[in-house]
Amino acid sequence: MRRNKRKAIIAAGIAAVLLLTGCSGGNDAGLPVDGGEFVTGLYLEPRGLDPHRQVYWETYRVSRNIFEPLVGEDLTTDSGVPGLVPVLATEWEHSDDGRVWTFQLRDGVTFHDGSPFDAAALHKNVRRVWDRSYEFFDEESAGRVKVWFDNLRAARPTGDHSYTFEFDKPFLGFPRILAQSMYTLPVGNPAVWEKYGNDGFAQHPEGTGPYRFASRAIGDRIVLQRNPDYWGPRPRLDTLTFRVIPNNQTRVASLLNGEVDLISYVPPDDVETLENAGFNVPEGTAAELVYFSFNRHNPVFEDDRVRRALIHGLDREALAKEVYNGFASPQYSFLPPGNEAYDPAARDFDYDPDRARRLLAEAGYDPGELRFNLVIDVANENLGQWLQAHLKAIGVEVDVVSLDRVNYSARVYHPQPGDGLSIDEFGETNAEWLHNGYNGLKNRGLDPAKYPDVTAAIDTALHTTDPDTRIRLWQQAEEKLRTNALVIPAVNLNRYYATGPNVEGFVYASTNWYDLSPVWLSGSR
Amino acid sequence: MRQLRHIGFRVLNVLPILFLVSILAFLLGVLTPGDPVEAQFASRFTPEQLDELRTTYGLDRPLWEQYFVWLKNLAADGGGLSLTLGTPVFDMLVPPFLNTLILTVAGALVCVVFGTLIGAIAGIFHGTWIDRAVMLLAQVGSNLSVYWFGLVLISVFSLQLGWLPVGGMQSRGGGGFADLLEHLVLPAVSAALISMLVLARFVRIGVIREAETDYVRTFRSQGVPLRTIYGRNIFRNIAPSIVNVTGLEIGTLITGVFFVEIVFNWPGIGTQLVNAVNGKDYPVIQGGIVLVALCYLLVNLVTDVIVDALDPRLRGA
Repeated sequence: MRRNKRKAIIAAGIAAVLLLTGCSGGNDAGLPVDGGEFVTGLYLEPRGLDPHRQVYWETYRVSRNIFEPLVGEDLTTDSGVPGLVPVLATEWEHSDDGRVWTFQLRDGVTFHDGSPFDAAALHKNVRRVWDRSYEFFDEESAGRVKVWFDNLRAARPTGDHSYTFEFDKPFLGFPRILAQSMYTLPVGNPAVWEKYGNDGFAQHPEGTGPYRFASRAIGDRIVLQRNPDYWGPRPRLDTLTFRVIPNNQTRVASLLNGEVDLISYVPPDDVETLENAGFNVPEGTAAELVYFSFNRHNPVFEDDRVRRALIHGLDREALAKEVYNGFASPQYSFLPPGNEAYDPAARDFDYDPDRARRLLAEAGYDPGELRFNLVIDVANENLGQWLQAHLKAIGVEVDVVSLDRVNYSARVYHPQPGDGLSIDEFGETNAEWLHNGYNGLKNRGLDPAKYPDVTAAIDTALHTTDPDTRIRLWQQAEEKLRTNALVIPAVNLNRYYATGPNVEGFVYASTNWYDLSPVWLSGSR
Repeated sequence: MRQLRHIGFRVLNVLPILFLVSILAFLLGVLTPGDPVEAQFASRFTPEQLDELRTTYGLDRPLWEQYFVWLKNLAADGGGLSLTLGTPVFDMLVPPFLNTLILTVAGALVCVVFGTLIGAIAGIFHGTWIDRAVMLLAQVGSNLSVYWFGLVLISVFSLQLGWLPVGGMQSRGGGGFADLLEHLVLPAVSAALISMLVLARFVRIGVIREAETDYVRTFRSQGVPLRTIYGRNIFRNIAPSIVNVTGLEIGTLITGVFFVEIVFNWPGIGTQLVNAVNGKDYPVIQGGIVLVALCYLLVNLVTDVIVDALDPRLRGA
């Protein structure tokens, strides 16, 4: 009994000291503290934690703690293009013609079960997504990386810790593509799919990352624990818990109530509430692009003047202010900030409603005569209504068709007569994203044969052998796409995360995900 | 023995219904509008890649074949793989289903205890201001949206007063029965609200009617204490109907629970099903329908058996 009392006094003393140091830490950012359970509130249930099948940003925000790519991006960069950093590959080089890529793999790295990461393990990862003759070839994974690996002619270990990819055509964008979140190749432990099968991997996710998978309750939480054998710098937090809180109000309330330390997708209306309550809502310029696509099955959009008129008729400054409370920046290019080919000076067509009306008149439409459906996902209803009112000012009548996510997707790929614009979101840091974006427009009925200059410009940039001109080529391709008025960039979201007052070291990176390993919790809240 | 046979007969009755439900669940999943593969993958995949994925998921096969594949998955393979999450359907549905069950049982308890209490008070004080006040509250309350009511509860009891957690099922560190109870209070009250008020009205009318019957008048004239009349006679007579109404109301309660789960982020099956419907994740929708139907059938079965046990007059029926 007495001993317990003494223990209690000592414990109270330690707690007081910790609290005091914690408080001072709050003032001058103090020295980072090790340990603690960090809870993140996600807005979306992550997909199965299979590195090759993942989709949705929220999946990667979890899975990147478990799996690592060969090449990564510097996530301490909060603006501009993040630099490439070695992760599982220490260095990489390409042949003069840009077709053959050789990676030197990091020595001394082990998967979470203790088995070594080497060229043989990497080879099984590549074969799983690419080689139909492999026993564990996975159709779904292959479908996801096909956009990049379709051109892959051969891939093989060239030593215990050396690996070579050989493409049909030059592919200078390859390393940064390896650093992206999905449709790429983070490395998983092949022993797992050999034991549990391809479908079983998501239940036993194992990689080489700083955290190990501990448990998952779908619809509730995913818990990760620090990997004590991690090869890199020791992460500060003991455990990472990702709670799934899809309801906007509940997610914000959970942060306010101290039940979570970080939330994503902060609703614009709550930014000020959170800041007034002492929470951090960092400002950033990550790739969070919102854009409008034309339904090119609708013949009215075959007339360039109509498409240009719609762009001239869109006041993106007002959109950012009125729909997003200013927590978004107007976007005039299809390449968002954070993208390596982003050019802040790029402008498509200025806001000029008179010009828009004139162009429509030239195309043969009297005010009120041009009419089409704006097909949106219910989540974008406010944006849809704003756009409807806004386009009326240039004499365009828009009927909003608001559908749930599934029917939205089905409808935009199989549009009905009269469907016009739809609203999409995306963004990556690699310049090659434009190639993907263009594919997306083709899926909406754009005939690439009608724009040989755009198609050729993209093909040239995608397969250039000259690293010095690569970015310029992508910018030229984007310019061609832009001057042909093939898409309407709208805004880029710039307030996306919020953290508790005691969260230190969180960086709103210019990618679409974050690194939690340097984050620590100060004592005070 | 006769009763056992009776229960056995009711259980057997459930089987053909389950078979029909399985066909319906399968068709509902498959025939709802929207192509699941497109919903999940279209934005970045070419049409050829989409076709390959359809083959992977067996969506290119005839319907009847898909039905048997699905039945096999249901029986032997964890219900197949979710399209949106890529994990086995049962892993996604069974633990959340148990969580929903916890919330439903808690909601049902709140419903029965407070519904009966409120109704009885109103009935006993029939015609007084207490009765009128309770009825007014019941009137207002049963017109509230569960969603809105839940948000008000969070705002008052979690954010303003700081007494109870905002949502979820466990705290940071997690664990413990007391922790679970703390998380259960607000969602259970929200879920129970409408059914509780329906039950309260029912109990109130039952009490008023019974109080006017001849036998109660006789007891009263004989000077039997009111407590005995209400406790021993009136309540015993209306108890079977309370169980019956509660059984029926559990349907409403489960529907309410689905909304409550979203507001309070309760990791139940409702959220999973809403996600599945939004994502056109038809293996999950199908599995969910079967589970929920099973639950309804069981509740009906149990209600019948309890009512039979409470009211001997119905046994032969």
